[in-house]
Amino acid sequence: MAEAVSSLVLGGMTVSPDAAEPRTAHRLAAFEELVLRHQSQIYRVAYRLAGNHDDAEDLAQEAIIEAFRAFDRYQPGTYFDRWLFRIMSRTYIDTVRRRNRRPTVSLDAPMGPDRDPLVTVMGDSKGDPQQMTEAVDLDGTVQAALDRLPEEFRTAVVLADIEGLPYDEVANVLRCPVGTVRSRLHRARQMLREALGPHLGGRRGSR
Amino acid sequence: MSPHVSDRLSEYMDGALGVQDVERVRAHLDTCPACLQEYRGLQDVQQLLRGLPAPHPREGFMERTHWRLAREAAAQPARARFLSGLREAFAVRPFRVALVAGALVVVALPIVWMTGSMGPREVPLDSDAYVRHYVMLSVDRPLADEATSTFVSSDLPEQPIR
Ligand SMILES: [Zn+2]
Repeated sequence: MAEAVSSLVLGGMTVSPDAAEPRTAHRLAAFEELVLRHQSQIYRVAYRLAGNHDDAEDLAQEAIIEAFRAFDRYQPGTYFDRWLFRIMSRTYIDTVRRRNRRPTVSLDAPMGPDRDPLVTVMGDSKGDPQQMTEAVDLDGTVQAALDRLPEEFRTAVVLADIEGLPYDEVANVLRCPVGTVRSRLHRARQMLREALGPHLGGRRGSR
Repeated sequence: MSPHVSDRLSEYMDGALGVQDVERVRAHLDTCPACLQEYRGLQDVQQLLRGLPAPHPREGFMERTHWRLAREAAAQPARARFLSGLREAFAVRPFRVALVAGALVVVALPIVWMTGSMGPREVPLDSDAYVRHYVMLSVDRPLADEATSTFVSSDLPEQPIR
């Protein structure tokens, strides 16, 4: 019994702290260098997900700390930013779910855009329409529309359209099948089209 | 099947369709104003998103991040020592296991009673059941963040991304 307790408390003492510290310092330096190199992408995704600077900083830092804890599992030479997005999207979705528990709607159920309950919800929660038209800042308007997307949809559209990741990479980050990415992305864009209607229709691409 | 191509339009736009589907969508867009209008709307959305300015982190962001990281790094050796001690205690001899299992029961019992989600006869006796129980608890109860935080950090990607 006493032996068990002492090994619980003192077990690690066999590893001298002096041997452990430089290794940690080394890891930290290597990690911070990667963070520094990718900080603008990391912050951009955090900001578009979180919707404001306060929450973006929190989200980015939380994801960075989590990534540091898991840094042993990062393979040098692979995309550090995508690896971190993977952690960040998990952190983000967990945070949102903890904060406001929304009624469960099957987000991935196949449904026509016209009958989509989520689009209807979006339309209803649009808020004061006058406020919308008065918003001179297009960035703010787009961000507000992004903010109203369910978190899985927002994450998909941020990764695909803002970060420019291909479908399979988005699927990898979100840990879901590519088919799910396709449908989430499509419906996210449809919702944004509904929400941003009056602000659309400038430059047109070709078919 | 509907002749409209509405649900293929995002993939068409992203170049994610096969040759045959591309032909089908293109032919349909030539003849259907409704789908064409939707397609243009989707294109506009994508252009708007792509054109968003890059947000700049607030001043001192990296510095604040550095301090949080440094604090985490300082905590890591202690955490590692504690965990390895715990592992050693777990690894050997039945009476140690009994000790830990006893402690788990003491901790788990009130939780089981309070949540009422399990009958008293299903008291988790092994560590697996204990973890499972916490996961279920955290799904039910968002306030049980603390209970899940260790679990969350152990659930990070093992598979690196190319
Ligand atoms: Zn059509």
